Amino acid sequence: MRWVVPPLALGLIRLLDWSWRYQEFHRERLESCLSSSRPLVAGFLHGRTFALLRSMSRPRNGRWLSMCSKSLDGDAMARIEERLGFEVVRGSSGTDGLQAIVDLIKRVRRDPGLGSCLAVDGSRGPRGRVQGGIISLAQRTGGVLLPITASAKPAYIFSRAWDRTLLPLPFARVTIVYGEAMEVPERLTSVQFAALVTELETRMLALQAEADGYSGQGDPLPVRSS
Amino acid sequence: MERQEIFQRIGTVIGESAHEDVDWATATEETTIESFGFDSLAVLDLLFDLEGEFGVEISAEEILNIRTLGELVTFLEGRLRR
Repeated sequence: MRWVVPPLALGLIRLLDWSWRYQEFHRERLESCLSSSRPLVAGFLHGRTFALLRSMSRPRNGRWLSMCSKSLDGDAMARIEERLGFEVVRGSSGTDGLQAIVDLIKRVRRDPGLGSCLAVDGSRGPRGRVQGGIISLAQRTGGVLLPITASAKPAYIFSRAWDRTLLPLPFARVTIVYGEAMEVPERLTSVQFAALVTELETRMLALQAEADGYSGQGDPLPVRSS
Repeated sequence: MERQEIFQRIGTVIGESAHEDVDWATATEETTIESFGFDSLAVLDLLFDLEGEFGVEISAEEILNIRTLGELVTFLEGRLRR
């Protein structure tokens, strides 16, 4: 199954993408970051991965390093992302996750033109709750963190998934919204670190609400910090 | 590199990496790294700063398995001998 599912899923994503119509808001924020020499860290909500995946894999949207968990699901996702053009580092939580952050940092340092993208709420959530790893990643790779999110209508929401994964349906209008870039200093006290986590969380939730507003896609359980 | 020199250079690194003020004067080889306020993410700062200071590679698992300054000195001695 692990050899069959990824190609099928990839085919499905490409087919769906062919049918989707994209609209982007605040694209100049991404382009400003891409045109600078500083490596970029893109943060997004885990549940909006599918809606963002194909868009972010396009060459005009940069080159990206991503992280996938060391699980069967992660295996499948890693294969799909690699076929789409992402470079993938494996790891999720605990020591593995920390090593993955280390690997991401070292990889970006070797190739500053490579951006890294990470789900801000991690691989297990809670949904919308920013984990500190993305701040650490931005600290050590150039200090620019760009929140990005997506919405779509019509879309199916996997309501039993912890992240309420949103999958745009065929011929959906997919809305991509870029947030304002955040500067992350290399040196932070624990109080400053916590403040940045809170700020990113606030910005992500507002960005998600903005995207859902543009798309007209309401979630019966909108993302909120618990 | 002598053990004492390694210990002192670790002190310099910890002073820069720690997110809180560090009282190195009272530190001994039995002092734990955790006592300097390094949680699981802050230890990343220590990892990279040690790599920069000593010119060695350290994995996340290795740094997380080191509990005391003495263990860190022993680890770096071994890594530097390679």
